[in-house]
Amino acid sequence: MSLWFAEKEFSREDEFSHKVEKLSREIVQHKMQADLMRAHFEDFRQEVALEIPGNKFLKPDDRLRDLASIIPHSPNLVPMDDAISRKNLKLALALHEEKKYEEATQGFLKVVSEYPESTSSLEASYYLAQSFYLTGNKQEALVWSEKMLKQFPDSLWTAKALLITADIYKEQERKNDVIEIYQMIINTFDSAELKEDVKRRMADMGS
Amino acid sequence: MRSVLAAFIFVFILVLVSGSALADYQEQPKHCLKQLKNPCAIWTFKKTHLPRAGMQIFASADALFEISENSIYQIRGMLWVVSDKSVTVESRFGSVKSEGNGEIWTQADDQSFVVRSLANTLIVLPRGDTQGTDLGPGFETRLSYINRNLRMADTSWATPINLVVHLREFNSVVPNAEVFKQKAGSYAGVVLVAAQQAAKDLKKIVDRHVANAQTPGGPKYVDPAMGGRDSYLRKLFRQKNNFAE
Repeated sequence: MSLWFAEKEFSREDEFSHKVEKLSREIVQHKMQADLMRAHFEDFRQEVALEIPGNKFLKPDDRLRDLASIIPHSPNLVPMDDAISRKNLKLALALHEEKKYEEATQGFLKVVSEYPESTSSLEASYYLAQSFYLTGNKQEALVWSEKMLKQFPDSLWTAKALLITADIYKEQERKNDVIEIYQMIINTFDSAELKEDVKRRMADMGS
Repeated sequence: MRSVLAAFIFVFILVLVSGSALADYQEQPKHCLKQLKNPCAIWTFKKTHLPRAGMQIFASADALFEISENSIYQIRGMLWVVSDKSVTVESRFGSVKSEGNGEIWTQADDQSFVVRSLANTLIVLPRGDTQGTDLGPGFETRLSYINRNLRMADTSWATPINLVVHLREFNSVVPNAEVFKQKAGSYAGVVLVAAQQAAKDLKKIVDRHVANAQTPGGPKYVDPAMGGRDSYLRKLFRQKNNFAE
């Protein structure tokens, strides 16, 4: 009888170790697939870089702008990295809600620097600009807004970052620059809600 | 009888579980190496020797590459490819070709692609370049990211191989000590010749500079960034002051 139990125990453990082994093999396979995908994407980025001359300044209506905007950003390339970056973004956002802007800044910086190609890096860039603005570091806020304009010219998060730029210019009493930014947002982005917000701000300025 | 059977089953299972050791590499798709499928992606877990279609591929641990008909697309790690026919090793920064009966040594990572010529002349083609350049035995070059001003990958000057560094890296690829000793001896000779050639070429460049500096009328060599402006200002000065040319 005890031998029968021993046999059952061995077969259950054996089943478990087989499952573990099978899972390990699957993980190795998935990692290899992810690495291959990333490598092919990096190859494509070099190909795109060949098409964009170095001295060419990309204007808002430039067709090459669409190509350029894919160079740093690749959504959902590595699902595991994307999940981790979203988690880190959530943590940083929670700190931001609690007005712990210094710690939130560190969290957003971590997402942007360690997972530049994740879907969270865009939102993290915007909140980074906002955190710098709220902690009085206006120069850094402007730097990040400009980075977003260069790298993600079509994104609504960039439009929101431009509103931060406009707020900074307003504090510096650069009325013409503020109006120029508002006009650029209205002309470039399609969001009706955003346009309404910008028109309201212009009306408040009395222009 | 029952106890004998149980013991046999136990031993059988034990052998099954313990016998399944980690393979040296992972293939994608499965068995693509034996079945000669193209492309065949390989990820090595330790230094590995893979023969395939006339090529002998020696890879370091944690190397990742894709094998096709007569070419290898290298993503990371070190590769030493020995072949009796034409073979190309590519990366995202460019490619290198050996035309018949030669060896290629390459090292790839996210930032650069290093190519070393160990036995025969290789043709290095940076990405974006259309002509390619020869890399003589004993020399190495490094390709890097696309330079958008030049519209091709950044390429370093061909320099003689640092044998101390190379032998250390070679050890992480070569399968056994016998091959290592044999090759190390031959490489030393090749690198010595390359170093002497590089020294001669450098001497020629230095001699040319010295000759320029010593010619009557002063040095002809002018810094391109400054030369144009300087000559314009000199001309203007002479004109304004009615000096002879």
